[in-house]
Amino acid sequence: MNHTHLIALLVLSPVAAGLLCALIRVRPLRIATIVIEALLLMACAGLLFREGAFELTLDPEVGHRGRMAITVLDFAILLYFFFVGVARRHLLAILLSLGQLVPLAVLELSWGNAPGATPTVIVDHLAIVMILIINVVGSLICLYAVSYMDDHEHHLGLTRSRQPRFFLWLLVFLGAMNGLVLANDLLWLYFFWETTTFCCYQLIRHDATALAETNALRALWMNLVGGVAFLAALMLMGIRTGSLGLRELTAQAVAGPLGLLPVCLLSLAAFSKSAQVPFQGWLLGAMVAPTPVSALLHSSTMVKAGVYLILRLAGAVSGSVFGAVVAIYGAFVLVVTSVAALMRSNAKSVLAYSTIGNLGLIILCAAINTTLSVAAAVLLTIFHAISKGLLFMSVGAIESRIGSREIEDMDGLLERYPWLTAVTTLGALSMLAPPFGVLMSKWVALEAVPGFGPKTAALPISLLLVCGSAVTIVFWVKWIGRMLSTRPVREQKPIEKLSVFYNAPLALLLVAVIALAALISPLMKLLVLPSLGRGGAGLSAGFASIETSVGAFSTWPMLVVLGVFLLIPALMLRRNHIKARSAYMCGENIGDQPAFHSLADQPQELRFGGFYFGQVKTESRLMTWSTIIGVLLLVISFWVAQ
Amino acid sequence: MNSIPFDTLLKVALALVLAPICGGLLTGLDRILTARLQGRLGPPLLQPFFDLIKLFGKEPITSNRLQRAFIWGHLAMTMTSLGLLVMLDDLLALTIILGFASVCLVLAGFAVRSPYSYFGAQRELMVLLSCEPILLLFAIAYYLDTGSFLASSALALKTPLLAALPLAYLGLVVALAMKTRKSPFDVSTSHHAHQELVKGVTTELSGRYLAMAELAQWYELTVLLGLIALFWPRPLWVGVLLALVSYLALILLDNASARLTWRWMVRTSWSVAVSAIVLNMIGLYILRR
Amino acid sequence: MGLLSLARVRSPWLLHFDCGSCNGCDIEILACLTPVYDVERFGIVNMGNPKHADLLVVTGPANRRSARVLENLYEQMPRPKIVVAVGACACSGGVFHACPNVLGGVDKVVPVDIYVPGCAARPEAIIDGIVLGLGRLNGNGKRDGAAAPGQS
Repeated sequence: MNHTHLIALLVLSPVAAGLLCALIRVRPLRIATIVIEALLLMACAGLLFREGAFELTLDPEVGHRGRMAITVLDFAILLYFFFVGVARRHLLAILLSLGQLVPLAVLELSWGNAPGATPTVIVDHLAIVMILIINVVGSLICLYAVSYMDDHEHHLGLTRSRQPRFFLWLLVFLGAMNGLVLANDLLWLYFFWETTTFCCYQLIRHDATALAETNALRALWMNLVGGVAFLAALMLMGIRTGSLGLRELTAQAVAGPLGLLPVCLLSLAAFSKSAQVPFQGWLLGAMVAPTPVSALLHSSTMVKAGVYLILRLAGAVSGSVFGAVVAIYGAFVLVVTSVAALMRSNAKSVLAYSTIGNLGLIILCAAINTTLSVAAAVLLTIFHAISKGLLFMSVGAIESRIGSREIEDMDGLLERYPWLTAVTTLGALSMLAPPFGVLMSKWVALEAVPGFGPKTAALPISLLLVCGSAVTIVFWVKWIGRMLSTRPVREQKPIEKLSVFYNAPLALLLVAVIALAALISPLMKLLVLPSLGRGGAGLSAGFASIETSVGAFSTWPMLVVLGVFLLIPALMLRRNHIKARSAYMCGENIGDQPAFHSLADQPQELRFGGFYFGQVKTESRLMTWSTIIGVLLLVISFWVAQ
Repeated sequence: MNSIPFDTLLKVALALVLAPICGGLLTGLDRILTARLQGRLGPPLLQPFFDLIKLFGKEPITSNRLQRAFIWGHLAMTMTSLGLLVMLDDLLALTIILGFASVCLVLAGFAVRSPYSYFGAQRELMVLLSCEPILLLFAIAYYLDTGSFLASSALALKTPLLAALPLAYLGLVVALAMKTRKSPFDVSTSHHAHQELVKGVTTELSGRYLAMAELAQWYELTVLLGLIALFWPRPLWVGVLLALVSYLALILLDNASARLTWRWMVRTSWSVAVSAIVLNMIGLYILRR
Repeated sequence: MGLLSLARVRSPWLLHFDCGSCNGCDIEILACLTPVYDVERFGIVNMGNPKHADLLVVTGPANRRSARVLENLYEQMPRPKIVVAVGACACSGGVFHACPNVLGGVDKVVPVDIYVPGCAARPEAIIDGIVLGLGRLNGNGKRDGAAAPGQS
């Protein structure tokens, strides 16, 4: 297959499939389209991985027409945003969309349709990693959405299905993300950037409730801030070099008269897309949308676009004060969001804060820009996508069963839904337990950070990273503990039956989580080390361990220990000689029931409550302060970038 | 497969056998000293071993399977971290695995619907929250001094680690006090009678599972004392002496202080212990400049 | 089983339950822990938790209110386990034996291995009773024969 065709399939086929879903209002056909498209995307991603790195400059004729098309679409999207702002009487949205419409017009007029001197598409290993994440995890989420949306609409009691519209935006989103990570021409990149904002807006407001509309608008204007910054960076680059290539930007950023300013502006755009601290509001608000949207936003699309851009820019900020400030900013985000997650009882908010924190960690690692730290960033991008995709999908499935996303309502969930609980527990454990990927990436990050060049920055970053890691463990374990809290087991409970569209994606991602923990070394060799683009000195992957220049982690022995010691009790379950007894309640327990004799011998059910560290008031104060500090750090970063 | 030399394996096996003996003897010593400080004669030195053997011989009753699995995990992870220490491996990895061992214990506590176990697990989680930053920062401070996270690099130093990291040593001793549940940090469970939470996180364990938790505790004690011994590894007996003196000091502290609240514990750890290590790191930066 | 039997005899952990005594015997039991008697010399430790205990030391007469609790506590102790009734009330109901709410000695509710008489039972007698009871903690965890009153 020709490279152009492969790229076209990756970018355009989801759009076509989306349109098909929107036009054909027959359910079986829609499902067939989604399944075929999901398989196609996975196959294309696999093919691209086999092809390896290449560059592609569009044929001038096609390139010209394509440029025209995206220009038209750019204006269409921006005008739509403008009208949304007018219709919802949202001054900020109006100003921000105008703030893009005018410069875009100037940009198009002055540079017009000059054929790009830079390749339109550059496929390198980082792009391949992103493509694999987007298309594998993203496709699984689309499959999951098939059953989930049925349940969802059943709960809402809709008479007329709104699924055609939903799958249109879901699939277009995937196409846009593919375009985003493949594009080297920044005008193309900008177009896909705005398209993801647009799809995100449509998906968040999908349920059309007042809250959904408000939160979608918030997501819109916050991402428009990023859009404005992006366009400003394009203007500056155009003025300075006349070239609008991402590769050129990273190559010559520091030398120019404007210094790092374009990089800084693009970073700001990335922070808004990745919901970093002053912008965290939109991602938290986005959870009003149906769960597949959250799963997609958090794992494979949208927020990953931000960190992808940061990873691209990492080369440009290397060793600069700006890089150090960004690293501190990332570490700061990690800590405040982890602390905020401690205070949340809503499972989806906990996941959202955890996402923002992990993205902060990725940004921190990218900004430090040593071999080790960038490897940590890429590893975390991969593993976070898998684990978070899994967690959101399982929480969504739980929500559609118990009708709540509160951790308090998941008390003792293991007794009710053993399979979903097992999936959620393993997903959560994969965020904190060795030798699962997320923890392995965190370990690489911890090894990388203290060796960071500017020592005045390395110390606070290490401190923040350590604090963030410690707090992270607590909120995950707290949650797992609530789900696993069960009565003495007496009989084997039946495992709940779910539709194949729930089970298959969950099972596949679960297998991926476990298999990749075992196969982390080959993964490093095949994907991560090449994507660093710097030979990988200071980091090597043996068969059984990962070795850095300053340490080593033996993954296989860990797995063996974990496996053996989890198997022993599992094998012992078969034997029935171990008697289960009721919990100690000062001898006032009522038989084997989780209940006790209370006042006046009245039976009292045993009830547990979670601990949320001061809750809402403390959290809002924390977020106010961290917003202020986050803005300050961003201002400082602008100041040092000049 | 990376070939692990046979003598390393032998060393690990030997350590896995010897560590519980050391841990048990130290616990016995602790009990005698505590009794003497209270004007009593105290149990024989081998008492902890009698307790352990007895527990292994009791009828196994537990509340559910999950609890058993997590106790196995707790023991396995602690043993793994000891293995890493003996192989002079990565200290950061060791810290992380030791942390996960505690997570297993916490989950074993959570896995039962029991009020006391639940409270104990919550508090054990707070112990984890207090210890984890200290241990991780210790590993980083160690890296700043030796230029590597591998424990073997402490052996290559000309001046002992203690000279460069005296405050980190103090921080580590505080972490040891928390991990071994010495007053004033014995919030989650305790060997003393003053225990309104019954036995906290271990309330619902009995028989061999309680014995396994106890065994893990001994392994953990050995690992932490081993980390302290790293501060003066050449000659090793000075390091061992340092570890023993630190442990004796903790026994005195244990008997001289009351249990305080978990809030106080977290605050102390995050303010005093963490800033001690950070000060130490700043000092290193300034001196090495 | 030699080592295990030795360990059992050397490490009795006891759970003390007050079924409704006048607290006389309870004070004497606590006196055993003090420096004067120091039962930890024999490895005896007071546990507040049936799941960790080997010996159930009961004071006071069994009554309708506390019988349920006593039974639950006994049930939650892992085998092998023995029960020591301390004081006249625990042995037979004592001066309360005729009260309408009193069932009698604790052997009306749980099987008692050792009876320690006295009002209140002296610490020496309690220790003696416990040591006597240790002999009954044999390997297979089953009780050997009927409960017999101890001699102090």
